[in-house]
This record gives sequence, structure tokens and C-alpha cells, in this order.
Amino acid sequence: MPGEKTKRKKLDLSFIAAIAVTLFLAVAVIHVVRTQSTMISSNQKVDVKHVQTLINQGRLSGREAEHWEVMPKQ
Amino acid sequence: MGGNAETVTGWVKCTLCPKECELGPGDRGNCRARVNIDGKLLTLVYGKPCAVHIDPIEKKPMFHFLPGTSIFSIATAGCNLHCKFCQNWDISQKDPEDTENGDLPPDKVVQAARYSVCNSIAYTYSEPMIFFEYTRDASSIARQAGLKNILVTAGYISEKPLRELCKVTDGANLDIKAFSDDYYRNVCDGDLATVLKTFEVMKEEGVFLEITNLIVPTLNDDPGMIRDLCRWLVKNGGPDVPLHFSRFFPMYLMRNLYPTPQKTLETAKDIAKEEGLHFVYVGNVPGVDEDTNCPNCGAVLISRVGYSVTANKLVDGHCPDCNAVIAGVWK
Repeated sequence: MPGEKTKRKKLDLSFIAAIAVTLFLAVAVIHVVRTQSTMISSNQKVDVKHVQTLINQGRLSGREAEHWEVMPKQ
Repeated sequence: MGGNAETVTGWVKCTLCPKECELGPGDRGNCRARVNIDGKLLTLVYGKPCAVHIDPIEKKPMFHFLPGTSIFSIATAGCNLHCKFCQNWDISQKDPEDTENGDLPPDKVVQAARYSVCNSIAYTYSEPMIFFEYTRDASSIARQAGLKNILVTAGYISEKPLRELCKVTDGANLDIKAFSDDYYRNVCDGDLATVLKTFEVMKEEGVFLEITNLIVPTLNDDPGMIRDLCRWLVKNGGPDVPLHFSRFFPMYLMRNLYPTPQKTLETAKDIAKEEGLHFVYVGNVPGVDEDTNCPNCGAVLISRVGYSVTANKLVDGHCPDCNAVIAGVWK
């Protein structure tokens, strides 16, 4: 029947749209995860105790760096 | 210079490179080598190299700088770029806590270089700009001892520390990774303008420059982009700046691409010659012609096989046939 045909067509389109959206989201998530895993954050935390131990053992330097400034009170 | 005022918040801003990391107590900078501990910015790598080698200077590559000599080469962990194709990622993308580090303060670097009969020192492999203080101090002592200093660098540094470093630097191989800001941002986590500025400052400060461009298939092998790079170099550095097109091999996070075809490198060399560059080399390809020819008469001046110099006919930096001056540091 003509009515049934139209209904089936609509279903097919929404199914394809759903797959397209899912694929898009999957690609977007993969892209973000890959980007984040390759670029390290500026504010990565260090294990201060461990680092200080290594400094005391002479395995790391611990010398005060140059070219930095104190940030004003926020 | 260092922050001398009392820290109120415990937060500091590193101004060594354009990333200007803002770090709270216990934070590590993007380069991995600089950390905020108790409101002070510390470098973890001063005098703590994770790589020490003696290399032929041609390996840097520097073809117009004391050819045929050995160069004492050092590196520490860390880098402020994060190139997905990095060939030295096992030290450049590691925290200094995770590498095996030696204890070699600046004066000992110079002693070791002299003991090894090297008349120059390279700050190389990872990124000398992020071990800035170590590089500068070793370079300063090396200068006093009559040794020359070479930076092998991506040039991602702020102008003030760069100018300071240039005062004790004799030569540099500056890596211009692509003539594209998008490439720098997407593949390397940097930006093109800073690197071009570094070129200009180094030239202004009298550092002898050679350029490397690693050609990665499908990413920066567009002939138009290569032509733009060469034009910029001729305009800003003159035709005598040596340019090395280097072959990419799958590495680190880019193991999905194939090595650069030799044809691509040869096309790049042809483009550079068309744009007027006098000294263009193709690297990382065994058996390819890497000789230096006189740009005036075409005579072969320096013959090379791999990293070895098999003949050097220069006479006091001049072509023996036509007496043309050849750009470089020859003694």
C-alpha cells in the first residue's frame, strides 16, 4: 500500500542517519583521544616527593631555572 | 631571569618559550624538564645528560662547519615540541625521572670534549632550548677554552633567552619542519612564526645557520609548500644558507606512513635550486650525492660518503679553481 511504502522509506532514512551520527561521534572521540594522548598537558603533576628524593640523590638537578616569573595574586 | 620576589600564590610562569606554562606548586612544564616546587621554577636537567656521544659533525647535519671533524654531543630528557614523527622520542618525550642520566656539569662537558679531541660541542638529539641554562653555561666555558658550540634545534624559544644563547653559539642546524602553521600546530604542537623569528634572530646575532626540512609523505611534501620555504630562505637568509632535505622513516606515532621516496627528495632539491639556493643536500639516503660544489664554477669542493668527508679542496674557505668565497665556518 502507498502509505506503508512511505513509512518504510522514513524508517530507512532515520536508520542511515543514526549510523552516520554514530560514525561521526566515534571518529570524533577517536580523534580527541589520539590528540590528547600525544600532546601532554601544560599542567602535568609531578610526584614532588619522588623528584626531591632524586634531586637529593644527585640523579636530577634541582637548580633554580632562569626566565620565569612569579604570578600575581589571583 | 629567575623570579626573586616572594611568591604569594605559589604559581609561576615560565617565560623560556612561547608556551609560557603557568604552573602551580607541583606542576611540570610542557617540556617536562622544568617544574614548580615550592613556588620556585627548577630545572631538573642541568648537568644531567641522558645522551653523550662523539659524532661526525656531518651527522648533525652541518656540512659547512669544520667538515670532517668530530663533535662532542649531549642531550637531556624533554622537549617543548611533540612531533608525532620524532626520531628521538625515547628521550625527548620522557620525563627526566624516567631516563638514565649522567652527572656532567658544564666544566666537565668541556673537559670531556677536549679529552675526546673534539673542537666543538653539539647540544642536540632532544631540544637544547629546554636545557637552556646547561647549554649556555657549557657553551660559555667551551668558548673560553677555544671550542665552538652548535645547537641542533627546532628553534622554539622566546626572543630574550634566544639572544642570550646566541652570544655563545657559533652555529646551528635549525629544523624548519614545514612551511605551514597548520602542520606545526597539528603535527608538532608548535607554531611556524616562532621558528621563523628564531631564524631571523640567529642570523642577526651572527650564528652560522644550516636548515633541515624533514619531508614526511602526504603531510609536507607539497611542491608549493617546499617552494615557499625556499623562497623565504633566499629572501631572509640569502642564497648561501645550506638546506638539507631529510628522509622520513616511520617512527613513534607515525608508523602508518611509508619512508619518503627518493624521487620526492630529488624534486625538492630541484625546486630549491630553481629558487636560487646554492647548497642543497638530500639526507638519510645512502649513496646519494652529498658533495659541495662551487656555486660559481661548479667545481667539487667537498666530497662525502655517508658521514665521512673523502676530500676537502677548499683553500681558506675559497674555491681553489675560481677563488669564490664559500659560506661556512672552515677553521
